[in-house]
Amino acid sequence: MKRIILFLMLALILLSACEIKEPALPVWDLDLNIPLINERYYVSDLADSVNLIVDENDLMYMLTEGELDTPEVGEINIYPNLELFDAPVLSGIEFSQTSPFMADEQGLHLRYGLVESGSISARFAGVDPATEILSLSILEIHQPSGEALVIEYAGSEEWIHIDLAGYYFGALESAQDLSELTLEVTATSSHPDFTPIAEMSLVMLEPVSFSVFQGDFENYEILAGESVASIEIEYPHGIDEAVQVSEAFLEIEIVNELGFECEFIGFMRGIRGDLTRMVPILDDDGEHFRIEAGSADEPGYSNLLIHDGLQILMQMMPETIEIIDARFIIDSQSGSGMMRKEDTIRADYTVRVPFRLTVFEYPITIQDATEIEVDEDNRDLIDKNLMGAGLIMQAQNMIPLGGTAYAYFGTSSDIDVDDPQSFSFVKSLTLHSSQTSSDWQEPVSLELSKTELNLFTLPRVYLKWSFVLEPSDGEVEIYAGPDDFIGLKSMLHAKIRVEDI
Amino acid sequence: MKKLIIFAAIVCCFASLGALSTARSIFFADSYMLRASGIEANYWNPAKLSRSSPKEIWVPLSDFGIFVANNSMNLDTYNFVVSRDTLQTADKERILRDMDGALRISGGGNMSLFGFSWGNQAISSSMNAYAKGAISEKFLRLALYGNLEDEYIFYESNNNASSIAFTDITYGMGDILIPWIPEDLPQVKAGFSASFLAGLYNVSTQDYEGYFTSDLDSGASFHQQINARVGLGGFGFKSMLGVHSEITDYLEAGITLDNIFGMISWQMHNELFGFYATADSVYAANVDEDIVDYDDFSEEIDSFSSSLAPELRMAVMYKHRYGSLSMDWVQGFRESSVTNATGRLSFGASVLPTPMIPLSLGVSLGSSRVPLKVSYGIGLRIKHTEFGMALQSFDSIIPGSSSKGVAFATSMRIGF
Repeated sequence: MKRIILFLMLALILLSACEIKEPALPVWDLDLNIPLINERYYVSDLADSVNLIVDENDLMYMLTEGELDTPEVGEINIYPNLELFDAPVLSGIEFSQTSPFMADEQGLHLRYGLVESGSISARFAGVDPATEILSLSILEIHQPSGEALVIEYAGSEEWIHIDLAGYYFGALESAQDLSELTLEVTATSSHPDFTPIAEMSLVMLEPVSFSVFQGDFENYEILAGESVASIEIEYPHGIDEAVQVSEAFLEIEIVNELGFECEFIGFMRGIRGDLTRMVPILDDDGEHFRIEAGSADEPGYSNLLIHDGLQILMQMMPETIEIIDARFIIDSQSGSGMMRKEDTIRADYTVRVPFRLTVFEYPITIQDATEIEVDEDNRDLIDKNLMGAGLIMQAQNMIPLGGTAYAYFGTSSDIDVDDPQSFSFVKSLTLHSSQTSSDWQEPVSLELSKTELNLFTLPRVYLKWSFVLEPSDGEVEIYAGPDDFIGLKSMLHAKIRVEDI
Repeated sequence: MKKLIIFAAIVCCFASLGALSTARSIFFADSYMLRASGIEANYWNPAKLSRSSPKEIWVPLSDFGIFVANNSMNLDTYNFVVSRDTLQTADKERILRDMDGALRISGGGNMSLFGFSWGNQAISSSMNAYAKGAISEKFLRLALYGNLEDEYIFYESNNNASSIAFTDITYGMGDILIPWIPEDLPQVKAGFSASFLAGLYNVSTQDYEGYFTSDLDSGASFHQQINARVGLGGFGFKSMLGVHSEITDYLEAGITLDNIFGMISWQMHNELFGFYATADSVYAANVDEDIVDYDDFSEEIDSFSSSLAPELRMAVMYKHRYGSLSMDWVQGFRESSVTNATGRLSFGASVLPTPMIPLSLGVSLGSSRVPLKVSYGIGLRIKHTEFGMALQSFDSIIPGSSSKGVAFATSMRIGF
């Protein structure tokens, strides 16, 4: 019996020795490798059809366009200086005389014109009662029908004011300047011929405005309005030092409705921040461009291509480009022509900067730090579960531009890449240009330690990018064809702490 | 998906029930062919149904056996894991070191419903349920280490599940003397049993394939496809032939062939469930897109049969006044829900320190597919009634924290 009890006790001891602990899940770390991306980023995707364009040969270029125009030229004024007082009128005698009517030094010569406004005044005084007919005709001033201006005595000796609006001066397409008016006086009376029967006065001193003017100018200036063309590109700091553009072009297409050839004077000005640079618009000989005159049927078209100085202007990477102090001058070289008051001069201009560059090793910094908001859930995950992270990247660069990108992470937007105190940590990644290799480059790894990851437990993190370009071997051209891309493959590596499942 | 979860739950549920020939065999770690007598001989060797044996009845549910086991985790490891704050690499390796490709879990149970034996005949009924499943070690490595490798391929051999439950009504007859054996040689008796099987359910993985890859060039891809067949309500048959001989007063030997014509045909409701999910070349950058293609289906299918693979058993037993020693060799002819194709050897010992208190010990040697099993049992025998209980340890000599599984059995025999 004792043996039985001993056996039973032994069995109970064995069984009771089995301690089964309460289920509880421990914490452990595991490594996740998550393919992140495998894409080709084509240069052509950068083209926005506004400022970045691809030409027919797939060459990228920067383009900006603007417009320039003058206001309507308006009326052309002349300033007459015609004064004739108390000239005797003889009965039975028809006489004709010419009289200068233009004041000197007006800088223009009228040959033909349609009066928009103006007047002429005449008076017949001391008229003999026996007078039968008394009238004055001015042959160069006529109605649309061609009938000359006639001023008749109608029994009153008061001044007669004639509104000249609608009257024409001179003959269309006349080859002669109109500087004198021909006055013809007709007088009849019952008195014998040559008997003075009246005194005639004629005055034209007020300006006469022409809505149509034909003639020539010695120097007539038409100012253009302001024109500003913006370039929607945010240039990083230092880009003008790191990249040198090889050439730039300004093309101006001018539509001139005036019947005068003009000289075009203006300046191209680029502005970036406080920096301003200005170049005159001149032809290859350093002369001002002259633009074609319009005709009665169609405007004159001029296409101006400017090379000189534009490269210097565009090298500053302007944010705005404008043509300033633009004006069109009709001068003695313009010859005779016609203009209407509604005539204008319009210009469309285009600045083209081909991506034909020389690249230097110079730091380029994006000016503003990017704010990254980290939501609470992700902050908790990073804090509790993310022990480390890394990025394995492999790139294939088919573009002759390479360099190293630096990402500066900090707790404030005031990140100064030269001041290590202003940021928490920096990570860099180098991408060699296609001049070095167009094959897949060796994979590179970016690792973030737990300490670095803890930065992302803050609600806001700031990131500032800086780049140092790989110096090019001479001039490089950036094309945007189907073979111009950067291939990028990357794998996200994360060490995850598993807990609280 | 919901159906799959239900399916998995059913498998896990029945994995905790028992499924053995009879509960009492647990007392001897399956070295039981020559120890079974009376009603139990119906299942172990009907040749041992003897006219000289007393009548015996089974009290319903009095014989009850249950086991659950796995191939890698023991209680020590479990306690170690749940007591750790953080699992280090060595700890993870400790969890994985015995998996040998997969975590395999099996469970089963058996219980008597009724039984009666008289002379050389017996009729009995029992209920059996058995389940096993496996999940690839690679899944667990993924969970513990993450995807350190570029490619993970999963095969059906390491990712599967099956379960079956059925009841039997068995009639057996034994003590049939085989003629023409010279009188100076030990006589050999034969017996047979036939079982009508009523199937409750059968669930089994039909097809499985899966992979998970991730690399820089192709991104992440995964594919999982599983088809499972479910049968509810069926009937079937199995039979057993056995021979037995008392070679000397101390030595017995026997051979049985079980599961002859063994099958269950599932008739009432049969369905095929399937689920697949696939994603190809996925990158986190485009994860917003509709990247996973998945679907599930279920369709009724024609009736099908679950075959019970034949199993050959040979045993010898040495008897002594104070006890006995036995040795059984069992060889299944192929894998099925209730059989293993890998042969196994088991030993049993019975000791009678007093006529009232039988003690038992059993050892079933392990193999590549079957763990070592060691049983300890104790009984109380009063006149014609015997009650006993036993505990079996898997992969450990002593039941305890090193065990990878445990079985428990109770048994009651009433003779008159």
